[in-house]
Amino acid sequence: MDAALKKNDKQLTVAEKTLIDTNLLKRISNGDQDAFSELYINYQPRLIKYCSRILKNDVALAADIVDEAMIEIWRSAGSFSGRSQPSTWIHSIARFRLIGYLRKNKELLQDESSEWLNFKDDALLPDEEIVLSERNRDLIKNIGKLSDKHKEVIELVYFRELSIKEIALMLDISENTVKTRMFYARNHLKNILSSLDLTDFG
Amino acid sequence: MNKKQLKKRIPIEALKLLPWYATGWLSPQERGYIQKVLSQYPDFRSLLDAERKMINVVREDKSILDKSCLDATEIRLNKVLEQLSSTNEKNKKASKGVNQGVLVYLSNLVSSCSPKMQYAVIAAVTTVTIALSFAFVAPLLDENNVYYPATSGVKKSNNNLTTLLVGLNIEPTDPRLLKILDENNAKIDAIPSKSGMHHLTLSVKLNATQIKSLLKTLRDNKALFWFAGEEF
Repeated sequence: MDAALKKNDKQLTVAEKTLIDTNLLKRISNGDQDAFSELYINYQPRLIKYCSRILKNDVALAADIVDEAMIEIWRSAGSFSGRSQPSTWIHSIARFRLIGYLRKNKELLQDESSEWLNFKDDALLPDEEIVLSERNRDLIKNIGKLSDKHKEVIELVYFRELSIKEIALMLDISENTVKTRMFYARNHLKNILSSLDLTDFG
Repeated sequence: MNKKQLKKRIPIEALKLLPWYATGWLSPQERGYIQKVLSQYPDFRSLLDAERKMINVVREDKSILDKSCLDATEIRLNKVLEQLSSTNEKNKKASKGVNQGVLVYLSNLVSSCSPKMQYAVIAAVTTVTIALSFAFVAPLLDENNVYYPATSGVKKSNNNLTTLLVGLNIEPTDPRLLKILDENNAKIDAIPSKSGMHHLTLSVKLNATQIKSLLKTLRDNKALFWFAGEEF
């Protein structure tokens, strides 16, 4: 009984969300910047999360691509026909922007990204979006930060000055994983330093 | 040459080993490898210097590791809104400039003519306007006489067609692709859209299961397609 009630609540919420977003898109097509702001705040964090997964956690680049997609949504909101969920339409614009970027930078379009892009992102399902939207603020705060694993490996290399072998033994992972993890951790760290307007670290 | 291109040339393994070279914790063999790369790629040295600088900065202020590389959503939103405003402003100015230019030109043309000539100019302008309406507006009416403004971005829908988006690894004229098009009674845009995708249009309306099956076939053909999806 409880489960059934919960399901109904969820369906209702999804329907409400669809209605709200459709209305926002309609207002945006009439040039309403407040509606655009509301939509941006609702969608930007999870779109960044979606894009950054394909961009190997380059969240700074993901954020730029999402901004471009949001500008495109501002320009083309009038062409939303209502044949799909607004969230699906919004995500597809971000996805095409991302694909456009990957296409121009072919070296980034690895097999796994290509494979991944072809499948519908589970996180885009409307019912999951509701949950995500409630965590938007935490999401944006967290995806811009180093993950615990990345922070840990940086600390072990920069502060404790351990070798690759020692770290691999300590964390019980392969040496290759240590090197790869540190590689992405440093890339993220560089983005943090750039955002703090510290020297350009290449 | 930008930094991304620079990194493309330097072996990825060397980039991965760089922090341990900077901290002095590589095996003699790995150290030898890095020194070889340093001698082969002079630009690699600048990355090594940057790595050392980064280590020093982080060691001086460990709290950097807890910072975020993203501005808060609201801050980014403000930047986007500023960008939109400035683009709108530019568009308005451009459109105003063009409109004013045309008006000034027509006004000068009419006022510089004799009364008879003025009537002739007005008649000519009216005729051209009507002709343009027939040329550009009439084709925008579909079979049900529904008007699709050319600038609205709304696509003319045709319920008897199915349109998919595909990313090609080959030329649209490749015989392998033409064979698939032939088999499915489909055609493809010769020129991709801004996102690099081609519209693939089938002359029949497929149902959801058929679309899913066709997309799977296309996606499985990785030699030809790097992307296949529905257009929303």
